[in-house]
Amino acid sequence: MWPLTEFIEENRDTPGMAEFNKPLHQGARGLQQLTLLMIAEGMANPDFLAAGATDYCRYMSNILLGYMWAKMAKICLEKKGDPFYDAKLASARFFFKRIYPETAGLAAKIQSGPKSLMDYPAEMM
Amino acid sequence: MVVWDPPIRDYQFLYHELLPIIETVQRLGYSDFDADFLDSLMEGWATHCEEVWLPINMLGDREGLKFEDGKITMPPEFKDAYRQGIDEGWLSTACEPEHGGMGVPLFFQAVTWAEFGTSACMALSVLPALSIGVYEILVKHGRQDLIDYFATNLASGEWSGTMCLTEPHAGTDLGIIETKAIPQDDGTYRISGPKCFITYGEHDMADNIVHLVLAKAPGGPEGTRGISLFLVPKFLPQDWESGGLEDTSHALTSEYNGVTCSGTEEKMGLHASPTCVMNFDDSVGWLVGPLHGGMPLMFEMMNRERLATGLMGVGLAHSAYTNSLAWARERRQGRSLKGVQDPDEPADNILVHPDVRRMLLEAKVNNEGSRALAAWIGLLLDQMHSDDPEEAEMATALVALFTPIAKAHFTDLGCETCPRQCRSWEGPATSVNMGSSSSTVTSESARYGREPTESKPSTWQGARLLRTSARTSAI
Repeated sequence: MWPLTEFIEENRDTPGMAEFNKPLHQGARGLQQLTLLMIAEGMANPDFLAAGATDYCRYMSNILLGYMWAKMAKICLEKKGDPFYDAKLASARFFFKRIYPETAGLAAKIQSGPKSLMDYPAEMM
Repeated sequence: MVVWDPPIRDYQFLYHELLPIIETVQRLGYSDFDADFLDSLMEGWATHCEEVWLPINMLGDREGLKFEDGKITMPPEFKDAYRQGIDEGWLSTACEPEHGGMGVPLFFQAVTWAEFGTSACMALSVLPALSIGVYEILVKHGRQDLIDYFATNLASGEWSGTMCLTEPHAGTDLGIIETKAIPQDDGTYRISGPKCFITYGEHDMADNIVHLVLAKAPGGPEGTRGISLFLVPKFLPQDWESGGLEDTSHALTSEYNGVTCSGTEEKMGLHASPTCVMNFDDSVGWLVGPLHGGMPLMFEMMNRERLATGLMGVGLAHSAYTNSLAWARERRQGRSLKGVQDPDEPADNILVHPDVRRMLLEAKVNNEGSRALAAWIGLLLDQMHSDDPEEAEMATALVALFTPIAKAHFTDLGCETCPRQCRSWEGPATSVNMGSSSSTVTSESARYGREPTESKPSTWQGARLLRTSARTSAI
């Protein structure tokens, strides 16, 4: 089984995990929706896949890194007071507050499709 | 002064707490591989990198290599450092003990070895990384007499390896390569054609260079499905004509096997890593793997090379970060917007400025996260070889999904992170003597060293990602 969904389920009520688990859950659902969108649109227009591919790859990278950070945060929550684990927890918070939110922008770019790229007059580039 | 702080504590956290590394690899057959041994490996490799590789890194970029009359001369300091790596066995950790290797699980060389080596001296670390790639393909798919003849010297580093894929007109589109392989009565082939961007295609640090060359033999289909893989050594075994690869002295002929280097690329950075234009002219080669089945072999090896390339992004970004942090801790400029923090000093330490912290923390957190994902992928590389078909299948699917992502994202992050580290330096960032600026230029090389993600997105990112993610029930 895909370990990410399992992890999100398991930690729904784990104390202290909400600030990591919730955005991860949201992002994973977003990934699912983007994937379905790309499959649906890509059938009729392969440029839709190609135009969103790099952003999709980066979106998925953020989800995978978010998964690793949530797992690391869980370990660190149990070892509070030790500077190494406290710093690691602070790293996890920084990731979810200041790096991971780029997923929202990436999703918007993917959803916009290939039109703004492919309609641009090539001779004017 | 360039500093480097090997992230051993970080890896200990990943290997001993985050991932079930030790119990998994023990179950997979590495029964005497324990936590203490892993720690001593990391410390030993970090020490070697710090004492032998790091001191020659800047020298390599400053002096670079010399190309003259088809021959490449490396800086003598590089030769010494490479030799020391051979003597201490650091170039062959993942190779089989029967070939003189350390025989430790794959994840160590694929992750920690790759990151530390890149941080310390990327120009040198790519050479053993390539040789090990060639070694792995050969040992897994080569004829036994080829393995017997070439594997031990490839593992130790006495001979080095290359991957010859790209041709001047065929980069990401390998289906249109023109290099030909003509079969001979004695079972060998004659390889002819041009290849370019061949890392360490020619150099003087090893006695022989073993090229793995993609070429087209007659009778195959069009496109990538007609490609086969050939082993073409720079110097031929002495008795090859009598069919003899049995000579265990590994004596070589002294004449070139029609393999010539006509020049090297003038790169932005990484000046001590030869990027060669090669030509094969009726060169003797041996088929490796099935005829017209070269591409799947190449992709098999690519998983580990991709992860290693991703780790280049991490290694360079970590170097840039540690150098910038050392500077930022000392540097005083301006005052905190919330009021003077150090009234006895003419200015506050720059860590009071939120935007300086942003640049440093983005680097630190990106590196730590990437390292964690890389460590997991490293473990999956070992799990791919599990006897349990379910475990092997799952690991194979996840590796296929994760490695292109790790490669693209980690190198992108490296390219974004390194210049940001320079920015925290202000003016001195422009000096090549500062570790961050060197990493910045080199990180671009790492990004271009991968196959460009942007040029074929519909093929490998769109379709492949969607296919593999569907297969792993990610959606």
